[in-house]
Amino acid sequence: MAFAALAGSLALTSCSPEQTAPAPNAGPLDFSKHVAVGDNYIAGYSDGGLTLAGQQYSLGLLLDQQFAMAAGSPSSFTQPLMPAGTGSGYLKLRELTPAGLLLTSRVTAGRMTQGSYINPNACGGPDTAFVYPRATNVVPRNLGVPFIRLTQIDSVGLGNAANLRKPNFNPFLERLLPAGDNRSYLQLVTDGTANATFFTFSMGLGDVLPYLLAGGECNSALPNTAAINLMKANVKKILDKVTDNGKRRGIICLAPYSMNQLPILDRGSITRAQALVQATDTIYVRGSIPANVVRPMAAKDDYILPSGLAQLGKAQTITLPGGGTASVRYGVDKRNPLSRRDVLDLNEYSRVNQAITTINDEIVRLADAVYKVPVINRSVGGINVFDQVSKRISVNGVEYSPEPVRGNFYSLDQYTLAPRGTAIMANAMIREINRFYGASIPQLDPNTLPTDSQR
Amino acid sequence: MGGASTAYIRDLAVIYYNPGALAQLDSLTHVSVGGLANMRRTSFLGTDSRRLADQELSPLPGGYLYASHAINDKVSVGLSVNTPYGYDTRWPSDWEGRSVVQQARLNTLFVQPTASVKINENFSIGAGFVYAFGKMTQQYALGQYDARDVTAQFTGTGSGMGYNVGLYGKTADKLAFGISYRSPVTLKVKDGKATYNNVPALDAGRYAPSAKLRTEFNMPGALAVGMADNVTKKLLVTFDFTLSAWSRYDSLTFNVGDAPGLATRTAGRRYEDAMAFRVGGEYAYSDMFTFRVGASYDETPIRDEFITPDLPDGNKLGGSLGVSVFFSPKLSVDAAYQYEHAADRTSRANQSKSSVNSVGGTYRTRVHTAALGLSYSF
Repeated sequence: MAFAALAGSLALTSCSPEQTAPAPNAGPLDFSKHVAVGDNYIAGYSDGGLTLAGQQYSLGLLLDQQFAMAAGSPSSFTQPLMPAGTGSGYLKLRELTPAGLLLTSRVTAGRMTQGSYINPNACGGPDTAFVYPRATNVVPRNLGVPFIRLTQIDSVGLGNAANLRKPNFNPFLERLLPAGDNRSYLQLVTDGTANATFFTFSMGLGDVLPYLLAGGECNSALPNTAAINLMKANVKKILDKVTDNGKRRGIICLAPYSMNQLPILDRGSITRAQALVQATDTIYVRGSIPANVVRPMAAKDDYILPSGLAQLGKAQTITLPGGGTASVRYGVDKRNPLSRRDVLDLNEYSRVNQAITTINDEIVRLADAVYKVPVINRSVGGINVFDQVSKRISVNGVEYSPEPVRGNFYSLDQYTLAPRGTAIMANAMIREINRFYGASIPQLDPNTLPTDSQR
Repeated sequence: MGGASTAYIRDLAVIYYNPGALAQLDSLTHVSVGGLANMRRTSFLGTDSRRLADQELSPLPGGYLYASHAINDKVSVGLSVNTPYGYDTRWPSDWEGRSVVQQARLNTLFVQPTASVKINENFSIGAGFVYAFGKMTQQYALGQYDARDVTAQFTGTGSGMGYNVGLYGKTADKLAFGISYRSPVTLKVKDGKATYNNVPALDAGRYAPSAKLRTEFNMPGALAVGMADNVTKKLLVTFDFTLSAWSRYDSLTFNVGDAPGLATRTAGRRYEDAMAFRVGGEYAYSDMFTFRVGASYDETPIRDEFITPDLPDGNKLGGSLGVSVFFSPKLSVDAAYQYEHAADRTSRANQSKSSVNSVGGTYRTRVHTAALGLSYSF
């Protein structure tokens, strides 16, 4: 008996089921100077703003932290950090209605501005352009610039505060350059990637966002044929630099092929919008082609933007053509249709779609044929995170979807990623890097990150 | 002896394994009672995350009471009370799969009154009625929230019924064989409780703090054949083969709320039938000491794609040692220890299958079981 007990306790210690984790391994890759180039996702723009909290979960940084684990040395990634606090301002949750309508409010108290200019001719109507505090480390390793467009990479002075009053001034680029610097984004990337050993790249979204967010009422960012051709030409220019003409290894993350997978559009589709009003209501929009003709919302590819959804069905006082006023519900009456700014209609969506498809196809073509680098979110083959998430995914027992707030993938602006969404995107990129280059980089556990960077 | 008991009548556990053998016991009244501890330990290594997690040490207590009494030359009755199925799986509360399972526990108690009749000197048949009682707990984190203390806890008790029949035969005194069939038993939890803790206000309406829970646990039917051979006067060897019909275990579904389908959490199981082989040897060293040794191979019923952290099973190779110490011919103390080594199992999580709660990684399981009991005849 005593013997059996002794034997038992010996066996307990000697036969424990311990496993050893395989050491992370960078394979043939050198992550010592990883440089991230791109727009909102790379920069960590989240909840409709750039804040220090959001930058802590930028795609560039989350990836670099995992790269560092594989390389076995601490991450030396530098980011153009905003001072702690409100940053450029951000959205916070006001309400998620039982019907699933997301209502946000913009936090602007304590916004860090160094200067501002109310531009009467801004994209989609008068808007204020700001200058934000300069990054303490100009030309950082995270070269992500929110809303940077491929069409603008050659624009000299795009990030010079002297051009604040010009329509296409990019305050987020301004922060990355020394004061008064006229360098274009391409020049910045050329300088910033000079000694880079690995790159991550994601562009294309920034080109279509201004037009999309303005409901197609932004002629300065109209993705027409000329703009698309310029994007195609410029993506090669910038990728030549980023990949060092194919000699540098890296990974590319495409913008969503189907932009309507982004909840900012999907939540405003006719099916979802109809659920917010009565079943008998007909939703009316003011179309773009033929211009300003009031018509019922189309069954496909008319998308009501959040500003429109917030007011949809609410009583508004309108002035009648014959004089006098009437109280008419917004968007569900021919006399008070959704305004053009509140809707990305099917013709406008088709432009966005064409632009993003063309540019993504071009990036895939260049990556496969010229640079030989891996790409995620392809339309066919490999991992397409946007596609997977649109059908709901389960990560270690936690569901992620485009649903506002509860979906935990997109941030409150409904087109950029929440911290956990960024981790899921980073994991897909790591999986692809591991497969393509034979590295062994550990993935993140998305469920351990906050659901919202501001929380 | 690795559980090779279908044709082995020196251990009263045969009442449970083969009720047909009961009538072949001698005319004395036998009682055997004991306790056991089952310690199943599993470690987990995340395929993608490279993170390690070790199950917490949580011995599952069990026990048995076997009694037999010969009414006359031909008829014997017996009672078997034991704890044949159970697990107590506890992962660290913040491990990678916390939203799949933090703790899963099932305790069962099978009560089986049994009667057996001798057909002739060499053959007997028997049958038992099985009343099964079970108690379950399942806890997981609601990982969609930031706070780490948002959890769901399912608890409940259930019962079910079944039967057990068997045939036992021997040729002279040397060779014995047995065949038995145990019916499946479904433990129906009708009045369980689902408790949701610390759910944020936004979703308080989605998770009532406390709701009714219904679920069912399926215990497999099993067909067993075995033989025992007295090789010499002192040495006996046994061999058993068991086929467990796990394949009726399709899924484990928890229905929460009063209305059916109000909220369910389903874990696909789709178990396969599983075979088990056991061999054992018993050596009567002296009047006082009898030693036993056994080896077993248990096939797992769990398919690769359904390995879940609540019970990450694998094909198990086991070895056991036992001893009976006879303080008198009528009184013995029995001790046994079994070690089982499960083959590593790797579960592949497919995140695009949002209905499957799984976490990708490799499970390594070792099982220790120790038993200590007392047998008395009068």
